[in-house]
Amino acid sequence: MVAARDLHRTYTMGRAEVHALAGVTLDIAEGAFIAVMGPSGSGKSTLLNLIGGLDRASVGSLRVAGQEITTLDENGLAFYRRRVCGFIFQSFNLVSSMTALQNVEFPLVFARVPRAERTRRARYLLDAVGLGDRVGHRPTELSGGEQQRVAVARALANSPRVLLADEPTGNLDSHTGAEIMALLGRAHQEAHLTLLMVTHDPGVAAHAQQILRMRDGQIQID
Amino acid sequence: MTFGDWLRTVWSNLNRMRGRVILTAFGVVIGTTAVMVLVSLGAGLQRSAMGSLGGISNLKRINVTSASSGYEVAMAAPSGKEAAAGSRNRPKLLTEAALTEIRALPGVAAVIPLEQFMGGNLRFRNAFGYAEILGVTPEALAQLDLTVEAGSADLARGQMVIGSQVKDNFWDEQKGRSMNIETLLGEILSIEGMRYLSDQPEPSTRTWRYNVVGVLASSGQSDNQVFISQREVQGMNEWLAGRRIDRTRDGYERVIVQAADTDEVEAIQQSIRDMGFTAYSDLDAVRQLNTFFGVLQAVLGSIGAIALLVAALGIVNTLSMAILERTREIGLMKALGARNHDVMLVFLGEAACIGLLGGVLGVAIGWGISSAANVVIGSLLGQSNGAVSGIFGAGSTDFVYTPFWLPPFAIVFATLIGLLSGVYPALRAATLDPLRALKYE
Repeated sequence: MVAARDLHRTYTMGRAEVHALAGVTLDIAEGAFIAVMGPSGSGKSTLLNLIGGLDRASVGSLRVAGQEITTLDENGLAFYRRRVCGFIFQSFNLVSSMTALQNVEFPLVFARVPRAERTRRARYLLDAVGLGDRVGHRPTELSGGEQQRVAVARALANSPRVLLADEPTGNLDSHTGAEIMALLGRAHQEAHLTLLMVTHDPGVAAHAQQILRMRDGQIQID
Repeated sequence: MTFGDWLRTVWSNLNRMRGRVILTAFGVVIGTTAVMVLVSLGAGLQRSAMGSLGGISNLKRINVTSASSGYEVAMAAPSGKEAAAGSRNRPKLLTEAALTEIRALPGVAAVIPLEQFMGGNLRFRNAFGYAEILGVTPEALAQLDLTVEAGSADLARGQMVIGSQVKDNFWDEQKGRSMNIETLLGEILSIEGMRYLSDQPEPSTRTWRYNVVGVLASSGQSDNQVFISQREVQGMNEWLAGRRIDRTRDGYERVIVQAADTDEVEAIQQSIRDMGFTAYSDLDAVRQLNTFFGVLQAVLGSIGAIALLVAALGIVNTLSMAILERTREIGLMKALGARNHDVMLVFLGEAACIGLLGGVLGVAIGWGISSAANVVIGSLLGQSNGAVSGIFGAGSTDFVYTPFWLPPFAIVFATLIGLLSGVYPALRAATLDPLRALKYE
């Protein structure tokens, strides 16, 4: 599903060059559930962002779902994010002026899905994450766990093939975090999608089928 | 993003920053109102001026004279080589052949030769009066758009039709004051001619008597003219010159060419000048006046446009603030698959919408102010005497006049200003790096 070959990502910060990724080569099978762990600055978020098409590699090749994405232009990347990826962020990133339903519908707006179909799908997903009775609430009226559930529903709205979660439980207490992990596990199984999750928490990482450890921009071989 | 979604997104975003949108749009309102009121004021003044000019002139009428007649020789002098040649050659005459040529020009409705008597004055009882004495063919009055207000238009032998103000032009020599005449209809007017012939030492005089059978409705140009039959005036001129006159050979002094439409006056005028005659119409004056008012409106409009420009800066400011506030949201939109141009269209839409809202409101307020101004000025002038309103032209009661094209133009213009103000913020929003935008605090 994901095939990276000698992937580099270099940032310039002032005069210094930071090698966030320094030659990553890896293959992830379709349907895998992988946790990426490592200390801060080890490049795990950078890897996730590259796979999600939010950032561009400096050098190297990256194929996702059979498509080389390092050569895509802006519109091609937008299309890729819309069709292939689903994102879950540590800080939820819900639009505060929108209801839960509207937040889940939001990605479908850019995919030009008709309104009725959009609403139907968003309701179904909110039901599935256990917020069927909260569709009209705004993010400020929801608890942290509920907000992240909305975000999970939103990430699933486009029926992505790769779900990318960057510290999905980082802002939640352990109990709520476990609930979200159960939800993600269920989504992974039912939707048969490839799930890539960055986390610091070994307990959370334990939900994954495989753990990828990173250090200094490279993958550590156990 | 579909059009409907775009519209909903724009609207909900504006709604979210309602307070600022209203304040920003208010700048556009002021600018649009200024454009509306000032341009309407210019247009109103123009219409009033045109109205009063229209009252004294027939804009379809072209006066044609032979280049040889009177002082107009100097004015009509052709330039360059022609001038040198023209001074030696005999000037072209308004003969029947020339009239036929003019008649054949496209857009000419009528060609009316005028026989003018310059050798004498009018007399009524003890008073002498001034008026242009013109000889015309029977159908000429109708061709000149002249209508009879009282009496008939029958120019039979010994009969005369006079302009509406001729009665006010008589001076009583014995009493030393102007005569107060109710009407001349049915009275006898005489024309007293005086001629100097080179072989006679003393001038000789002659008097022709006419029955006033008709008084014309006021038309401006013809108010101080009297009309008698062409044949009779030619007879007077033959007496004056002491020889027979053959107009087919000698040409007419003056011909009026009536155009079918004012649009064609200019072309006809040019063709006649190209033939070598002098042609003048009141449209020349109208054109100059139009140019003047065009400039006036542009200047007044620019003042309003400056206000709109300031409003545009407000829009740029408001949207730039909105981008800062919505940076994370823009990043999210991109992460969820929005293209750069989706983001750009949303911001452009918001900017154009602020312009549109301000424009519509500005047009409404501008229209209200214009209407109110008309009522106020109207009542102020109504209290003073009628002479003042004469400045603004007869019949026109609107001092501030909104041309039909102005409201749609003002709305489109305000929207465009909004759209243009949105370009810079929209480009900035569209090209935000999604990753940085998502991390923006």
